[in-house]
Amino acid sequence: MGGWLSGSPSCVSCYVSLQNNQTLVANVGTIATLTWDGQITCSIAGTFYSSGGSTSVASYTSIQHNYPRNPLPQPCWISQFFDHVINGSTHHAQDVVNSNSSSNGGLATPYGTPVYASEGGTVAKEASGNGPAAGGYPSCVGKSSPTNFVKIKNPSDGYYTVYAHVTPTVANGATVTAGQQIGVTDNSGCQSAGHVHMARKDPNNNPVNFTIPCANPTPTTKFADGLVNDDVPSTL
Amino acid sequence: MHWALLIALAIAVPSVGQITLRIPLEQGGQPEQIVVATFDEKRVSAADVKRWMLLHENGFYSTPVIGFSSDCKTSDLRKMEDAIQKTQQIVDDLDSNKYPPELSDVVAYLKNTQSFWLWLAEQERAFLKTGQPPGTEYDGTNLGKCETPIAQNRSQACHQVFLKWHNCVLETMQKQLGSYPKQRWKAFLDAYGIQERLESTID
Repeated sequence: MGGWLSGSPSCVSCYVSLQNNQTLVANVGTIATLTWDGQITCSIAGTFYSSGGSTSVASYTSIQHNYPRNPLPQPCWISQFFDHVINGSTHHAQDVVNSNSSSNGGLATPYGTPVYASEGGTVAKEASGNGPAAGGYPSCVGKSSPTNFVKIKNPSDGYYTVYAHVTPTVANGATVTAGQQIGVTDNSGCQSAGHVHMARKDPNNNPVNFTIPCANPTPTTKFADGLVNDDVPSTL
Repeated sequence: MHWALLIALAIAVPSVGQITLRIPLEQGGQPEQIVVATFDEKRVSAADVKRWMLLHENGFYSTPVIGFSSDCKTSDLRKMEDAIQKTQQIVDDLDSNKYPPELSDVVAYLKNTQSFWLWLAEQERAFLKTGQPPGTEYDGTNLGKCETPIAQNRSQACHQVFLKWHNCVLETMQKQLGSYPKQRWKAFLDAYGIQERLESTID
């Protein structure tokens, strides 16, 4: 799936093309949301089905940013993409796991794996001390269990990057450089297997879409392998 | 057995007048954390509970506004001025007279932390503006070990101040400032009959 945008706040064109046998089966061509808020967000109503038939996204939000670095110490794989609908809730983050080159898929990231900043900035917030969700997965689904995370503000553009299910090793206010270790993966919150839940927020704390240089940087026919499925309904 | 059951029910069932608020711990669109606070509105007002939650360990007043100048451009001065102004406002707002006495330690800790961040940002602004090396003492604490060596060029000097000096001073002062007084916060909540539960919006 791909797309592009052009125009100005008063006149915007938005095109989305489908690839890899994906089919848009509902509300074809309907622009559900087209807003101008300093950036253009393009969303198409409908459901995209991969050739595997098991995956859907409710909309495709244009990419706002491309991170130059993977947050893990080994090649990565996106197990749940931004826009992916899980039990009726839209995932506004990328879940990052280890890449499994032999199967062209993903592998759970072991707890305790170092996590590196995908870009530099200032630690705007960190949360620690949270353990696994009560009852474990999947009974924790929908219970909004608190999780550990590190949130870094890029001073150049004011955008934030959130690395969750991560025990911080940096303090509030610290300066971090791209590639610097900021924490380790942990079993905090509601999750089925180790991964980094990576989100990007605009200066007003609204989620935006982005890419990470993983083996599957954008959705393909294999974009949901079912490996990590932390189905917590979210307001994100 | 019968009495034990009655006591358990009395604890589990909220009394009349109790209300529950979901209070985001961050400003803006979609916060990472939300506090679910349950309290008796005859004892405390919703407005006060919302205001007090700004003092939460993960709340607004625990969050730094400051940020480093990534490219060491003088054009970043405006952003730094803005951050300094906001931090100064936070320091001014953290007046223990505006809060219940049970929160005095929490307010003092947050005020000290924000005051330190303010000083840090002022030092970095002065460096960016005039090249003046940052200070070697804060609030009686000697920061000489963080002193930056003479740099070969501006880029190196920036790296030394905004990364090395910044993190060295932060680490040193964190030991001085200590950690958030969680027990005091808990005692305050108990004293006012406020139950809190943390929720995450991270899925």
